[in-house]
Parts: sequence; structure tokens; C-alpha cells
Amino acid sequence: MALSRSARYRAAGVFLAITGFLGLWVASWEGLINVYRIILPAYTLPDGAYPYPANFWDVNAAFGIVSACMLTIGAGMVFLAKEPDEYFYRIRLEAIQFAVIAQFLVGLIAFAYFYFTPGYQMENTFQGILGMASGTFLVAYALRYYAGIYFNADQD
Amino acid sequence: MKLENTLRVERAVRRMTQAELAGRVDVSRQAINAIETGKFIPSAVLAIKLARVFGKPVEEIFILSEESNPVGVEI
Repeated sequence: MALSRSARYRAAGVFLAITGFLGLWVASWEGLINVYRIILPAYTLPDGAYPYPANFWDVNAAFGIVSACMLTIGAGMVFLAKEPDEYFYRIRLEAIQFAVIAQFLVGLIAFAYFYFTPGYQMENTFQGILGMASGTFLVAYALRYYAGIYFNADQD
Repeated sequence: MKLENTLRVERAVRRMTQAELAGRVDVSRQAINAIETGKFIPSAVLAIKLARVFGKPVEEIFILSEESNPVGVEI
């Protein structure tokens, strides 16, 4: 079955967002070093260790920024894509409401957890909490949206 | 107050599937299902289109009722 233009636009957005998320994940864990190992195997030391190239952190930072941009643009495309009809627009609205509440709750619970942990230093934790809350928004939106479309619409 | 509808009955009389009806009024099959099961109140435009498919006035397809009905949408 051929996809409509808006469905293809949304599919491209989903692909871009997932690719961006994976890129961000790899960049966060310095996974690029494994790519270096594959494309430049000659730099491997006799004991199997692989020294970080001089420009590694610049490349890793650029990779992370590009991935974050792809994630943002992909998510934007998903939310800007036209829906097939008024029922789907309502599902989208409900999914956004659900995701906003989920995001707020996860952020609040995470903040309270760290804040009330004895002896824990809150510095540098806010980025992680915001990232987790944003991730919760995307996951909650996708789950609620597709649950509304595929599981709550039995066919006769 | 509840908004009930006779879409399922009208479809059954004409041996029409949800997908066929959806195609006639240019919406998704899920939208027809949601209207029939009382999960979604259609816009005035869509209600008129649906009534036209069955050749009946809108009030005969969509009925505003005081009584509670599990299929109706509370408004």
C-alpha cells in the first residue's frame, strides 16, 4: 500500500528522530572510538589498546550536535505532519496532553529523588533530569498515539 | 445528555463495512469505528456527510438523548 504524502513526511521525521537519538546515544558514550577502530585499524597498539586520536573530542562534539539537530528536526516533522482526518487530530491532542503530564511527573519525581537523597550534590544533574523528562515526552507521545490508533479501534 | 448514533445499524442494513463508509466520506476507518463506539463526536461537516451517505437527515443518524446509553458520548 502506497503511503500518502503526509505519511511519508512523518515517516521521514520518525527516521530522522530515531537516527538522531542513536547518534546522540553513541556520542554520549564515546562510541565513535569504535568507528575509528574500524576505519583506521593501523593505529591499534600491539597490546590491543587504541589511543584516542588528537581530534577525537572535536569530532565527537560535532557528531553529538548534529545528532541533536537531527532529533529535533525529526520530532518537529512528526508534529508538523498532516493527520488523515479530524479523529487523528484528536488522538494527537490527547497524546500531547498525556505526554506533557508524563514529562512533568517524571521530571518532578527525578528531581525530588535526587534532591532528597542525603549527601547528593545537585550540580550537573539538571541536564540529566531535563533530558530524561524530554525523552519521556517522546516515548509517552508515541505510545499514547499508536495505542489510540491501533489498539482502541477494533474492526467489525 | 448523550449523543447516540445509528451508524452501525445503517451500515448493517446496507451491508457496508467501516472501511467502505470511511472511503465514502473521506476519513479513516478508525474514525468511523470511534464514532460508532461513542468515543468520538464528529464535526458538523462529517455528520452531514455521513447522513447524506444513508440518505437521511442528520437528526435521524445522530440522536441527542437524555437517557444514559453505553454507546453514546456524554456531552
